[in-house]
Amino acid sequence: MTTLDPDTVPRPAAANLDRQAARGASSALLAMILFVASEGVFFAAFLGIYASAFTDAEVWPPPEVPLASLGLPSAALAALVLSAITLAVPVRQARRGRYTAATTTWLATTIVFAAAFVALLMYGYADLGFGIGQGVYESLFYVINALAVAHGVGGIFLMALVLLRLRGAAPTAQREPVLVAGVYWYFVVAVGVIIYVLLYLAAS
Amino acid sequence: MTTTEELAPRAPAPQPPDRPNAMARAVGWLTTTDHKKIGILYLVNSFTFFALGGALALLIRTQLAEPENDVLSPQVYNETFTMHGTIMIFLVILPLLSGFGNYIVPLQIGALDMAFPRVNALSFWLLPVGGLTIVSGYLTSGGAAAAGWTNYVPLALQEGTGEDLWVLGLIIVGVSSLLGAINFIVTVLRLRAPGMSMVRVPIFTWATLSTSVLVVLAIPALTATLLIVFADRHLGTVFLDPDHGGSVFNYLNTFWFFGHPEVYMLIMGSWGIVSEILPVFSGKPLFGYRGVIAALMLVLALSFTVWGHHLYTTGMVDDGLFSITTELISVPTGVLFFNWLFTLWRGKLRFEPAMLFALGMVALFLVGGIDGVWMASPAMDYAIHDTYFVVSHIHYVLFGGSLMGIMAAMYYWFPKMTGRFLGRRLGQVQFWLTFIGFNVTFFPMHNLGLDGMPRRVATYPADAGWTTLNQIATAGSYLIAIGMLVGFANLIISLRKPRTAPNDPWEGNTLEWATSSPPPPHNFDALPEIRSERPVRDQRLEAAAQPEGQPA
Amino acid sequence: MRAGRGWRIAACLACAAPVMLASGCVKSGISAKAEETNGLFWTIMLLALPVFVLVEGLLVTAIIRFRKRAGDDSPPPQTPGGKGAMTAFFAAPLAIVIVMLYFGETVLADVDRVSNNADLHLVVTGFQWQWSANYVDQGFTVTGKTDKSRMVMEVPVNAVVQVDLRSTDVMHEFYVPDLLFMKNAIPGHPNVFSFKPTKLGTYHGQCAQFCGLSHATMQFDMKVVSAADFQAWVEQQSQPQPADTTSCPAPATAVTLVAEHISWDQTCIAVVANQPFAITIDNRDVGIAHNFAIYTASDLKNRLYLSGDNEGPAVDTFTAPALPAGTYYFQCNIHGPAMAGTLVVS
Repeated sequence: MTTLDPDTVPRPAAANLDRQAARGASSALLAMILFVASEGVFFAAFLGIYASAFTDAEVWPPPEVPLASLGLPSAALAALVLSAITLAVPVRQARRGRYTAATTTWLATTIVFAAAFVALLMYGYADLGFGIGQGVYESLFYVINALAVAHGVGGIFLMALVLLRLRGAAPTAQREPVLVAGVYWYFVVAVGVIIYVLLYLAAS
Repeated sequence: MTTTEELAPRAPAPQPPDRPNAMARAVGWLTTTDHKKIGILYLVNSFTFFALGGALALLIRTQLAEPENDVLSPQVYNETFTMHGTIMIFLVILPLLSGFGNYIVPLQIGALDMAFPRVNALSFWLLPVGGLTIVSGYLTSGGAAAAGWTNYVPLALQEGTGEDLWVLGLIIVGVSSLLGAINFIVTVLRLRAPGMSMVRVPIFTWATLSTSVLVVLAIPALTATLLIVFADRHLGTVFLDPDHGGSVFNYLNTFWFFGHPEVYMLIMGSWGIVSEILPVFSGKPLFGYRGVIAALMLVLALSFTVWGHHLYTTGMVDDGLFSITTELISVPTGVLFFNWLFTLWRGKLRFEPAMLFALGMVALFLVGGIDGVWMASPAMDYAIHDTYFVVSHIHYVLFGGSLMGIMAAMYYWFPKMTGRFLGRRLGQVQFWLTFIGFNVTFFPMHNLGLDGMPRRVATYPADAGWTTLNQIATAGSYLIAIGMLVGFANLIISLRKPRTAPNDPWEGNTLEWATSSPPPPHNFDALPEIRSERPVRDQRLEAAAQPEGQPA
Repeated sequence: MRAGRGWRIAACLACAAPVMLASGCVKSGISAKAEETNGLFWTIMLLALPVFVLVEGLLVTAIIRFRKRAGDDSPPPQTPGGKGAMTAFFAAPLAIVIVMLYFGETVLADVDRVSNNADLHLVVTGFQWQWSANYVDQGFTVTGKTDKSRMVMEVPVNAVVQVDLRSTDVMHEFYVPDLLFMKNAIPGHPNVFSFKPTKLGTYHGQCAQFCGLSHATMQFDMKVVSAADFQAWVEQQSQPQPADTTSCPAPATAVTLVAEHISWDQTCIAVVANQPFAITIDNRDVGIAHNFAIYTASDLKNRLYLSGDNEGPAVDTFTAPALPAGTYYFQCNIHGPAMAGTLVVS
């Protein structure tokens, strides 16, 4: 039996606490993976509606829909892909446990591209030729896009928060936040690509 | 807060208790991140809503005691059964299981607290906020939501402001469940004590883990349906409008993709509780511990493949296919019953109230499991879907199964939580009133359903021949209510008794019995070595085998 | 021991349960399909009842035999349960499920089969809150009035009836307990089913899908009658209903109709011939939509006008076109003949 002597071991039971702190390092990452899995089901619900509307329709998207031009959305996608590439650097460094000044620079660059993605997507909204209630395609278009934008904004906040925490933090404290934010942003990137394919590319 | 305060709140005080102290205690409860206090907050909050939901149930039964009764107007009746279902499902059963999970899971795995204590506090506090939002529908001019807890569209699109509050409240409750579930999963996967491998984790913790996985993967589907309903009501979208390419199936499929795993979210915790209590009061290990885990995992996986059985009569799903998955899920469920029975077999059974409720759960949940087989068969379901047969079935599962298990948990873990025993005699009275009242209320509903009485009707014609069985059911419901009042009295009386509970009052198996009752804020001063799924029993046997005073 | 007495009561209850179930509560059915479903009920009972009796029996036996006796402190045997037991536990229910599935799927195929050569075609429409049944080949419609009267539909015995099931507003469910059958009426998604009643009688029918305020009174009667009686009933229904114009007011150029509780406040309105007229709909049904349609006659073959939907509560004014003098039929298209009347143009 392992007994912790209450006199020599300060409460709370220190051995236990240390071990939990050490393991706690990956807890936030696990939590984010679970959260992203949940978000995945959330988006899948809308993609399911898309799929059923798609299979029910003879022509997709409905012929009367004035389609959005591919220009701005393509630019938004490009920004998103670039953000994924630039984010790879800090994530890779965090995974290897190496930290340089470049970490913050690359993360900041990612935020800039992420902001560009959100801005371009929203700008593209301005000259859409259809309203939200004309048909199920239009409803899906607006709602899925809005959700993507909301998640993009959330990601920008998260990465900005990480960036603030990185300044002056000990190297060991930097690993976790970067990885957590990385998981979330890669989820946004995946959603962004799927949206581009389904709502813009497949439609034209 | 120090240990001394925690353990001796009733120390003889010469001066009357001063206000700042009471204030400090209140603030302590409001700001706590201790999983044990949060667990108790969950229980208090949920039992409060349970009282409300139960009162609504009595209203329903009172209205149905007579044909063409007008105790409740149809509008009020519709609000009543909608709120009864919503409260019991979202604000009572699941949060009660979360409450026990919060208190017990970190103890069972030898952890200091949940993985994210502050997130834990947030997930609790979102719950009363969401719950009050839902209930506040009663304050609007159109009344509370009245489209049933399943909130079928397009009916839900016609409803008033109460519906919006219902949607908003449920989104908040959903976020609460999701945060709580992520916290449980990370806690169980990351914070287990040394030696506590996954195949030594107690079944209640396994059940909480499975429930949490269901929450993570199913609750977002609910959130999506709520968003769709809200968007169609207020943002002008047409997801559900067949005139514009939408379809009600966009709601039905997504809702039941959530809705069926939801049933398992509500019952798995109770399976876990019973799998803890039966071994302890039989003096035997859980028969087929690994088999039970395998059964839980199978149910977890299959529960995402059966949602179509709620849609047999819509003519839009492949009934034959869904009946296969639906009947298959009864296989792992059946395994649980055999494991429970063989746990009892040749044991030495002690009939403490916790054991009574656990045995009652096995007896009643079996009925809910077996009558479900009729509904799983589509052709048969065409005859009884949306009748009182279904009402009977869900109550045998959610009351006979989940709530009886929760009552068992209450009697089982109350000494651990408070240091006090719930009264044995009153516990027996509560059990028998509830058990008998339950069967008197809900068994006749099978017959009502087979005789063609649809569910959710505000009244029924006098010449339909449903009066007698309805009167029996109503009488039974009052019996249940008396039983619950006895339980409440027991709670109040017991809380005034002195703290007499030892660390391990029941000769338990799992780690929560290795610490004091109630445990100190840091949970454990010392952990026994963990070499099996019954570490406290191992420790007890070792201590008995060793001469007094010799260190381990 | 007190607990022991309690368990004996429980054992009695457990025994009473199957007896209650067996007390002949499932309907025997009035069609071949219904009788097959009834057979399926008993097949499942045959498979499920032994399981029920076995498990509850073992439970009660364990409770009685294995109680801890006073003074007995010997430890019980610590049987953990091995792979063999687990395999058996999984295999036994699986075998039962496979047998059950075989019977279930067989009956399902029969019950779901829609007959191609029906003797009678019905379009049954659910709306808030009544039913209407359109006899397609006979050219008339029967309906009821919300909270006031049930729809009464007659079908000939031993004839194949094909039902085209629709909804104009929310989800409903066509349910006749004696047919052991129900099917959802869903907006935008018609369902088709058929049945062949074989027993004469009047059978209760009701909406089974919760559909709002007056869901409970959305009842109807299905009368299964002899072929001769059916013919007589059809002829009686097909008689042109003499338009009741006695209550008609003087012709006007603007008319107001109040819709409340799925009824118009007037069954006859009069307007001036050959000039457009304003029709104001004061809809007092919260959450319910109404509209206003004019037809040459109640057979609905020639529609002259259809207004937009008025979502209650609201007051909307529509302009109907000029009509030559004559007698017309008007209705709310969502609630059909349950909200209908005569339009006199003079």
